[in-house]
Amino acid sequence: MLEATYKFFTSVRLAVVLLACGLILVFWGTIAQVKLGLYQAQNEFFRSLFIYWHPAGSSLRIPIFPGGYLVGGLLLVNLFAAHLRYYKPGLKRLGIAMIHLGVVLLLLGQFATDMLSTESYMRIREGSYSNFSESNSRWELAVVDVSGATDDKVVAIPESLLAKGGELAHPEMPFKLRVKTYFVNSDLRGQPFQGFEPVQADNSTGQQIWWRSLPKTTTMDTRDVPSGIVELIEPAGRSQAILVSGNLAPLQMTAGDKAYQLALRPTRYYKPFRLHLLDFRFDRYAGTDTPKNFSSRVRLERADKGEDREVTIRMNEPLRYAGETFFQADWDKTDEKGTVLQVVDNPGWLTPYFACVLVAAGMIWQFMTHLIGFAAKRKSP
Amino acid sequence: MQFPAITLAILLAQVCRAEDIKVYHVPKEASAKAGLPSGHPDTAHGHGIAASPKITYTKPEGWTEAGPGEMRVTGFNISGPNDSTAQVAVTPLADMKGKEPFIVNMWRQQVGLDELSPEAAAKELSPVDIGGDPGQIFEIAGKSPDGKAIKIVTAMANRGSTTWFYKLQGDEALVTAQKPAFVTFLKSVKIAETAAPAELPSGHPPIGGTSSPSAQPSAPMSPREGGPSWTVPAGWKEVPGGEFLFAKFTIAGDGGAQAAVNVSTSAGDGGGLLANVNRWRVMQLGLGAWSEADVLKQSKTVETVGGQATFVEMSGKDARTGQPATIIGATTTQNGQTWFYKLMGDPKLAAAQRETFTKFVKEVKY
Repeated sequence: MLEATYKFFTSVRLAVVLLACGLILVFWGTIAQVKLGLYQAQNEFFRSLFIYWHPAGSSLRIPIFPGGYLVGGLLLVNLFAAHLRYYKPGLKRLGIAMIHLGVVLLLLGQFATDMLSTESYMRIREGSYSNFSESNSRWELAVVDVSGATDDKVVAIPESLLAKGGELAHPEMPFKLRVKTYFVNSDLRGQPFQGFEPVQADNSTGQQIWWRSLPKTTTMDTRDVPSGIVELIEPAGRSQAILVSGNLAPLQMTAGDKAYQLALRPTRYYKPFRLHLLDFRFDRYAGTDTPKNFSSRVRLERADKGEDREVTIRMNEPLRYAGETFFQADWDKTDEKGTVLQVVDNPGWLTPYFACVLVAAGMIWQFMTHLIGFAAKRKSP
Repeated sequence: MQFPAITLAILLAQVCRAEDIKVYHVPKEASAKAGLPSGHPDTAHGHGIAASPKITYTKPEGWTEAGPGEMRVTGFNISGPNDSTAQVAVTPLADMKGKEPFIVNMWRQQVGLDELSPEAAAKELSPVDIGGDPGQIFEIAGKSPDGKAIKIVTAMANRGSTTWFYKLQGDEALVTAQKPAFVTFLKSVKIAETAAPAELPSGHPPIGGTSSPSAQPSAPMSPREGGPSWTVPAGWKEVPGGEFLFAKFTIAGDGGAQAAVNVSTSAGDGGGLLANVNRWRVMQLGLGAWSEADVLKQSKTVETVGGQATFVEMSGKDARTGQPATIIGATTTQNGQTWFYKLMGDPKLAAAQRETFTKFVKEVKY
């Protein structure tokens, strides 16, 4: 039994089947993006063990095809196992080992990118600055204590906890939170509409609001706007139901003798430095509206390291700083006086480069070994 | 062999790690958010200010700190007897110098009072000491939209190109009682540095100003390849409209009045006339929704170069600025594609542009 398992995991057939599955997966996942959108297709096809079929009208999830993690994981196991079984140490096969190690590094690097990388956006208007970026897909409920003289204390509750519902407490929060309703995507209206229900909340936004839940968005040019009702329970036992929404301004409130803000907002990533936008340029070819170049001239200010320098971020010239990469991504289209920088934090960004170098070096080694051997044979009488 | 195994273990631990509540401190000035592109879903959170200036003051007894807000650098809440409330906001705004009469009239409109002439409005102002600097103060009493008696006391002082506004607003009796404390508060204010002033919210018409329609010659153009062609009327200025608009024009009127024409398109019927008219009414003008019969009654069909277009007109308050606004909308279907034309802005300017807008829509070639 053990021998059969060992043979199965070390077989070339398994590698071929897995590579074929990978091909199908990439094709299917690419086509599925039309219906599901990029993020959902990535999650369902590539960041999963299986692709599931959901029969209509049922909550069943039936696995019908291996997902990206399963295919990649099995390939990794196959690679290791085959290496153990077939590899014989020696300079002659060093190239093979390097190629395999490169592929392993590539697989692990991609897995690390999936797990550890974050992508967010920093929006800055000319003349102003920002020291945080915001996620385009993740949200948080922020309870901000604004009573401090120099600092604000933020208690950030991730959306995943809100979506689970139930009671949330933290020693730094002046109240407990009970999530009564949470919509991952929603529509709010100031008037009754068919399909909308009146919001049953105590916070006075000055008018009755109607809302409805929406399915998660699948297009790239829109994003989910969550809403929910959270019940704030004071230590004395008093409670009030509050409407929070990504479409509403932060709620100003007091608890005890302190002032707080409650905001459902895109997840923020604060930086130990700030970028001051000096100038955004959208150059066009003379006499046309054809874009020629987008660039942001920013001043990077970091007090703790005494840094204060100017940097120009262009489309293909990102700023790499403090482990993050700032790409020129978009701009404020109303007056072209604001920039949008994509901020990518990917600890594994170097692994594909190392992997490719390893694979290339392995191939060169292997090729040269054969070439030299062949040439030596030809020389010998 | 050990390296990949350890890496895998670390990654798996990362996978299994659940997201948790985070607590962190941010410098106060960082709370003020940099401006967002218009149309971004997060614009509802408001535009922040570029930098929080170092403002110090003596807080009167009974006032509760409300912290910075959408445009203000700081604010206070005041509670009085019989559940009465009032708020104080401190807001720096750029380019407001010399527009004091306009400010007076803006607050008069807010409490349902008629506008005054610039001379009469200027007489409402009296001098006040704001942190040792000369300032001006005025007060206005009126009714809130729900009929409650309210009062607004506003003080302002110029520092460089920035005007600092201090506004006490709330239930009339409480505001009257708190005015002495407010004046004392004004005297205690110290601004350590001049900050970049707050920008008006996206889409907010410039306050004051003397811009007038530009006398640009009409120029035929087709803004995007494959789209319709039209003649841009004199005084309309094309601006980037963002990814959801096919084209956008702004129109400047007398006294800072502004309007914008948006052109958008959608496959099929674009959700239908009723849904789109109600979207304009409810979401943009704060009006009640119309029934299908209302839409039929209120709309008119006009012959155009490409066939027919349906026009509809409505007035309310701009949901983003609270200022009176008029929308003149038109829709037409061409080759299975519905085109929406929307003129929205100052009611007087919209009325003046009605004929030009209608002619523009009628003459578009698809």
